[in-house]
Amino acid sequence: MELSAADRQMLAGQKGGGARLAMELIVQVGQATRATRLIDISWAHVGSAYNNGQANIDFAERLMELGTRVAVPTTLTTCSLNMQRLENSEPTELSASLRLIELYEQMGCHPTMTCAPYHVRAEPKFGEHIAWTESSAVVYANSILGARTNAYVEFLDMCAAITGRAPETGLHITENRRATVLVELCDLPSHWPGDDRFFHVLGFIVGRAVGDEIPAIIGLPRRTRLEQLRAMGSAGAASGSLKLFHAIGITPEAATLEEASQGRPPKGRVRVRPADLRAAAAQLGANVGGDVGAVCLGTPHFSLSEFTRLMPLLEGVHVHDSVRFYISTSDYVLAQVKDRGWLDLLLAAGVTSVTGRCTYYAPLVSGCDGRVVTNSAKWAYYAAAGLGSRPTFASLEDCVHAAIRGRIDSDTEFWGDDN
Amino acid sequence: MTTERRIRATEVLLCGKCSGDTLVLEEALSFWGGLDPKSGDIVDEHHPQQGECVAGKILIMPGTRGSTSSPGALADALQRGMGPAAVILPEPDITILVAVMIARELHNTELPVVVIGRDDYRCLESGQRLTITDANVLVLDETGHASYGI
Repeated sequence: MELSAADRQMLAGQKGGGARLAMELIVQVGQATRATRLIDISWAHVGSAYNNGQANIDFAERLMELGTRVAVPTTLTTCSLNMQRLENSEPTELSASLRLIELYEQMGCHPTMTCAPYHVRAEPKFGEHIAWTESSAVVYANSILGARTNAYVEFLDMCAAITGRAPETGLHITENRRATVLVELCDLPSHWPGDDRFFHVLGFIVGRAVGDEIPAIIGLPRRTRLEQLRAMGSAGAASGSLKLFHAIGITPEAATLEEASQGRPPKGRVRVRPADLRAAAAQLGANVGGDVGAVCLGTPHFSLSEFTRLMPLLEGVHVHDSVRFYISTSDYVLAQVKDRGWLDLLLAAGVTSVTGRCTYYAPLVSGCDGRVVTNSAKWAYYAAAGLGSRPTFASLEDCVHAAIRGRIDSDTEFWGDDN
Repeated sequence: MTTERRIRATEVLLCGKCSGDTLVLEEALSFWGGLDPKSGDIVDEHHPQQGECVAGKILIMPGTRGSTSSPGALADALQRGMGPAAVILPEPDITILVAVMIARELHNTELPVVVIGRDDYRCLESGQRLTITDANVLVLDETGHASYGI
């Protein structure tokens, strides 16, 4: 593998022990992935600060002992703590997690604690090489922004941050970004492709269907909103391993199918029919009503534009006594919400803001009676698997209505039936 | 009479030598949430080999899947002595490479991680006795059965 003079200096330990350790790992991964050289990255988004176990703590402490600093702007992804209610955390977990975040801050990382780092700094530009972790952020950066990243695993993400380098492999290379599978939408009811629910469920299906291939989705309306593309990506990254999709006529590398596929024939074709979407929606609990125990919004972290849509729905209403209503977001977006005077409105309505974490791997909603209603397919999918809770996937409006009434009806009106 | 079969690694991700009993995973595993680092047990409900223990085994597996937090879980298992003795793959796997490199850096845990050809990969079964030499040759003892039990 071709290394620059600076790469070799790092490898030889001339830039400190932390850079030596990091460069060794980058080079080994580069060799294993057949990279011929390393490239500069402009932004690392890091998951190593999550307190998953002793290795995470030992890694951070070793880097600190070695006097390590990051070389590029570096954001931290979600942790296990609710930054709005630190006092509710289990004390051992609290001190270990805060210690980890502090160590990363001392190394120059921004303690953003969000899965949506594109909300807290200016977004990476088209064609920019970045090294990000967090599946929903990776698919967002690649597909919607046209930035270039692989899905960086923990430790490797921090090594990229320390060296500012990454192996030129995978989605950093133009040829590897071409669409390899066509996704065709067949016989859809006309009211589906304008609705958020459709995009969540379509993403869920596509992620499961395409494996490691890159889909070109044909036939989405040009007026498809950013948040809808984001929902599709995050659902596909959860149900499968979607890291890049092309929406023909919409996303930046897909003005035409010819451009998205770089003029090469597809390896396969997936036809998505109404019955597929109905079945997937049913799997996410869209067709199950009942008493509601909690409502969870903000997977991935709620954006300012989502708050803008939500706020009018909350005016003059209050969440039912038996319902806990959570919105996960970042401190940065919550500060903007506060600036607009919306925080008081949220509190008055009985809505709890959660920052720093996600609610699906949290004890926040475990043990709650009744269904957990969410507008996120990703949340519904993970919660059913991991939390043992009973999710009902619904629209944003229905989430709010369910929170007020303490009940939700099955969503048969939107999804209809196959007959 | 000793019957041995020798397989040459096509690629050595991390070198080392060891002997042990094989455990072949039928499907890719997510270490995060799928492996209990305290016991080495596979705890993923969706994995066909839930309940099997990887500790001390020469782990033969198609690769990893799922979470980007997986390296830490494997590194933790290795630190506790509950990780595999070696990993054999049909293609390079970054999660495993990173996990083992971090375990080596932090806790001086050494284990070989090698890639073998697909035909050789398909011939390996659980419960065989295997030696990985420092010349990166896998020697499969085909005379007897692997030693089970305590």
